[in-house]
Amino acid sequence: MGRYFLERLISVLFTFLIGTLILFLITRLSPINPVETMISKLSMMSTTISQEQFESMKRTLMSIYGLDKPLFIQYLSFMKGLLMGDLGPSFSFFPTPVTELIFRAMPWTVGLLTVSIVIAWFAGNLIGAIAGFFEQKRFSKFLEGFFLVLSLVPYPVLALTLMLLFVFLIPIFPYFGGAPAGMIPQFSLQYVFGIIKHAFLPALSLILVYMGASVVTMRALTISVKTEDFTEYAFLRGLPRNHILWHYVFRNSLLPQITGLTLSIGQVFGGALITESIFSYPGLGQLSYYAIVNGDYNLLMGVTFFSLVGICIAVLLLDFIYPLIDPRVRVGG
Amino acid sequence: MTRLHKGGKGLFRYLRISKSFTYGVVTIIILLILGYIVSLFAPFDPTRWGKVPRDKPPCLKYPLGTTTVGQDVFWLATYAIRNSFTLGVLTGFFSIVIASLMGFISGYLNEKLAGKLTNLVIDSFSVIPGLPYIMVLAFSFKEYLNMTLIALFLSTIGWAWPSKQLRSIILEIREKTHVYTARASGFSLFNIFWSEFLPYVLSWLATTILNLMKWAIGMETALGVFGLSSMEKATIGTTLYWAMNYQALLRGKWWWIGTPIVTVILIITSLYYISIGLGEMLNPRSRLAQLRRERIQWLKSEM
Repeated sequence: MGRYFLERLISVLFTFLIGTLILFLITRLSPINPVETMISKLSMMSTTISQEQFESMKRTLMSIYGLDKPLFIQYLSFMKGLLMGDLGPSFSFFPTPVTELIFRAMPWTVGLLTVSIVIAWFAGNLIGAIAGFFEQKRFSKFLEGFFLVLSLVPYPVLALTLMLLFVFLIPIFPYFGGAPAGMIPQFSLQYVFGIIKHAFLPALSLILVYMGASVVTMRALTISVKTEDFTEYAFLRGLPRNHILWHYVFRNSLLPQITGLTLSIGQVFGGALITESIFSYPGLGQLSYYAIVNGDYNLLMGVTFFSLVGICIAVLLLDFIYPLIDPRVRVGG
Repeated sequence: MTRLHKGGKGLFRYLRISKSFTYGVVTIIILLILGYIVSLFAPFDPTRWGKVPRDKPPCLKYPLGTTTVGQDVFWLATYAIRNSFTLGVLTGFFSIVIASLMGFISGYLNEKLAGKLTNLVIDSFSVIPGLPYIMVLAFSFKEYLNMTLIALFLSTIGWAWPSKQLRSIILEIREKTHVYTARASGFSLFNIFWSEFLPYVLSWLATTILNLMKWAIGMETALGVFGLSSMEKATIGTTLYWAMNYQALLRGKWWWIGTPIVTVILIITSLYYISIGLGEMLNPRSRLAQLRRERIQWLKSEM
């Protein structure tokens, strides 16, 4: 048992290391030189800069950012900083550290995503189980069709449709932001209500998509559990239908869905890139979009680092909790 | 006469039994004809601006209307369908090649060091957040983007999950006796894969390729919304991008933004139904269930 956990731990650790290496290399592919972008921004503000000044500024900034060293050394210094909890400065918001930017954005994303995922998971599985249990009924087929289309529509299309419906055609929700503009963060009813109002549409779009997927899979799982011998035996014993649905079928179909829930919760730290850009929500996804477009590798690396950590922890958790919740999983298999 | 006796063989019989599969196949065929045959008859290059009057709603001459920049939406859509299918097929192909190779090696050589290392690589790629990764790639090579390049980029990450699935399938099969026999008889690795494993893997292969196509088309739409797709080609993503850029819906030009949305939904749902149908058809267990259903229908019609 102990050896199994240790093995899993080591393999997840290596996975994480290789993952960061790949991301590191990919982010450095960007053709945008953050230093040149910054200097050109500066030169727009002040008077003209001569060629020598430009070169010397570039050299100084490159050495401050550590970009003049070879890639391998850059990677090592990144990893060294990581161990000390320092992800380096952001290039485009110099000298604000990346961690500060991330921690500022994180509550928005994590709050929005966790709430939507949990709501969607519970609602989706309940509906899916009922639809699967009564698979021959017309409402079940209708539900499957509806949620199937929801889960198949490309997410940006769904988000845009919601936005057009509820922001432009029936303007009941605000256009952008995470909180009412110009309001001081405080724990008042009005402020909390404002946050909910801003988060409502992005959350709704996420809930619909997640729900679509979980209804469809849960329905299929329920149908397959329903035909298993132990369920048929329960039917033959004449147990009440409700009892069979919740105690025999639902509990057994829920097991694979736990994997999905854990993995989605793990992905929360990556932010929802598309959601946040479409609804202009001030979270991690928007931060990483900003980083990509501005060639801010450090910032991008920071955001993706957190999402990598989130997923790795989720994978590890799954390995650890699966033997506990499902006695059939053979340890060490 | 009963249905069972009248029914044709194999695929055709299945086509008649499962309505959703029929829907998928018929839709795909129509879309393929639109994309690869009808698009050849385009009177002009539909991506060029100013070829037709602006902002015309759908009418006889322009069946799906025209855009604000003077493109015919119908011809634009045929090009977009072709590009999306090409992208999907290329991504499916590239990803499945990598996925089969990696999944097979890591599953078949599970105990060896090579297998363990391959598994590590698979795991590492499957935890990388996909969208930012592809966006960085697309952004870095923005000037060179075309369908093949986007397909290659998508494949560098799209192979990871399928190869994880393949690995677990292979782990299960390799314990079967006939594989041991083949190995003991000195079959080469390729031969073992081809004749002992492939029959089991076939249904996985079919559904996975279709799923990858679906994923690729959805990803292209997402990239397009950010303006990171191949901008001068007509694709679903770029059509959406330009429609949004010109505020098509706010100005009531619903045909411009509606066409790509409906097209992508049609493509994806039909691919989904085909993959479900194929999966069932190739899976012996559900074929049995299918036989049972037919039998019940037959009994009912006899009564």
